[in-house]
Amino acid sequence: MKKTIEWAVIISFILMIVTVVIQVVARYALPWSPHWTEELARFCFIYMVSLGAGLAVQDRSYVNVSSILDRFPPKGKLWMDNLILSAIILLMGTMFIYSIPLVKIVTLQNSASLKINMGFIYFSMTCMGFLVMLYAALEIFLNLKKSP
Amino acid sequence: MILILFIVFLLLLLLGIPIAFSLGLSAFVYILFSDLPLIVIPQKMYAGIDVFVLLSIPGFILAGNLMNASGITGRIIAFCNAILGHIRGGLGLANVGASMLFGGISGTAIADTASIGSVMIPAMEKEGYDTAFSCAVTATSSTIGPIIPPSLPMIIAATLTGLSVGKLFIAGVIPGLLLGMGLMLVTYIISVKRKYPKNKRVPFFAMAKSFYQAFWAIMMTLLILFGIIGGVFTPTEASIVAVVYAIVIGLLVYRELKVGMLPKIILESAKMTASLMVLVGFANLFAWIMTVEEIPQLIAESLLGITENKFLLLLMINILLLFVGAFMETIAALLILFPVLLGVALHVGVDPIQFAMIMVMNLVIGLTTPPVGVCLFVTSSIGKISLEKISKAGLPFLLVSLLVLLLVTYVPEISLFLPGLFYD
Repeated sequence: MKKTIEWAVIISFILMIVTVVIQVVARYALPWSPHWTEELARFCFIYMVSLGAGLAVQDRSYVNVSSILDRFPPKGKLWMDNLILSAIILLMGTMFIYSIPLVKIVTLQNSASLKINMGFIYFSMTCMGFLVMLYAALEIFLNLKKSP
Repeated sequence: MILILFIVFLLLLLLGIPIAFSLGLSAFVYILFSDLPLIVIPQKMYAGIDVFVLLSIPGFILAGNLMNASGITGRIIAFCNAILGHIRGGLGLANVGASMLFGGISGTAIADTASIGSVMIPAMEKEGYDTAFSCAVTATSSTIGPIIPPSLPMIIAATLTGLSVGKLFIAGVIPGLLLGMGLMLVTYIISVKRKYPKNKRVPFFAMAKSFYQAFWAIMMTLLILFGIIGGVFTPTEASIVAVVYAIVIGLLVYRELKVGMLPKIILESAKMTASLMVLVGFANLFAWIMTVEEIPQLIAESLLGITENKFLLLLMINILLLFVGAFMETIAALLILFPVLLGVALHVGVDPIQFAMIMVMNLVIGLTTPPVGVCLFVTSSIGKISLEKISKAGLPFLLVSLLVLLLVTYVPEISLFLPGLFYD
């Protein structure tokens, strides 16, 4: 499953690059420029971020202030880490749950130029909530396995 | 009521919860206590990242990573060494020079510290430089990166306030050069005092060759800068053009980049972007609550209540920002504080472009301010030497950085001359 998400992230990124390149090339080389490029690039970006947010938990890419945390002994640090990950799960779980009614509300709209259902775009927030939660839970599981 | 927001935020921050989630959680707690609906969490997160200019961030990150994978670091260092190596303390000067050129590629100080430091610190040690000195030069000079364009903090500042990214980029050129020259001067003086080595003058032919090697990297900065200023493309388009350029140069000119490496580099850049954007999204939620509670006005009024003197106000803001910059990541601090403080600055007649420059400089100098400056940590782990020693060795550099900061704060022309020249 991790591989699938990783490839989805890579493909969104590439699609975003290609779309913007089309936008630039079209403006200078073609008699007309497509009006949907900006929107499509933005949607690719949002999905890239939402899907990548979970993977970033695993990589510990989120910056924090660690000056106090570093003073803990190794075991205490591990427990603090679990506490932090649980707090992340709480927040992202709330986001996951409340993104569902939000998706329902915006399904009434279509995007301005591509006419994609906005519910589909806002669904990225549901994915983000779910994936960050999932990877934070996975990290807790690994922490627990480390300490007997 | 609003106190809950700040107290919870600071508490979570100190506990070591990532800044992005500290912002989100404190907003969450606030929402629970007030009668706001929880649905604003995904809503404001979405609104925060659904901004076209922000697309330039993954673009510049990816372009920088691609250039790095093409072996650009070594080429830039070789070039700077060829030009500056024959002066006393040449390797130290080359270190600063490389940071200036590299700043045009990566856009973040920590990336500069790590990639230049891993090459330069061992090399300087080998030639007899004091390790603490080498680490200090590397850490302080890497702060030039986010001031010389392209710069991620500048893009964020522009998104927050609707300023032009192009103007902010070009405004950073003179302050960046000033900072670079200041740091080189300190390096030179210390090197003469301690009799650090100088190398033989490099023959003209070899110098030209090293220039050609680094030429394509320098061209990328110029392409981005003049593309944006000339109105050829928007900042987002410029970042993507830079990606395409970096791929072409890496694959066809330097030939160190292989197609098989691309997925991994793209994925790494995407993850870095994702963690930044979660921060941007939650900061948007946090900022929205502050606006609802009219906090920016409150802070502006209380600051203006202390004094309306422009000189004193800017001094106060500088001290506050240096302090914040030492503890908090640049972009996070910018997201929280820039909109709030800009109001104060505008009230006393400071130009928003100049103020953005002051703010970013403050926060990046904070990255090298003991005891918690992140860049110091990075060099201390490369050089395997204690933070205290580096901090001590870095003191003269810090003083020069602060001097340049004062100039930028009180001489508006330093930031505004070039934007005026190109835009008005």
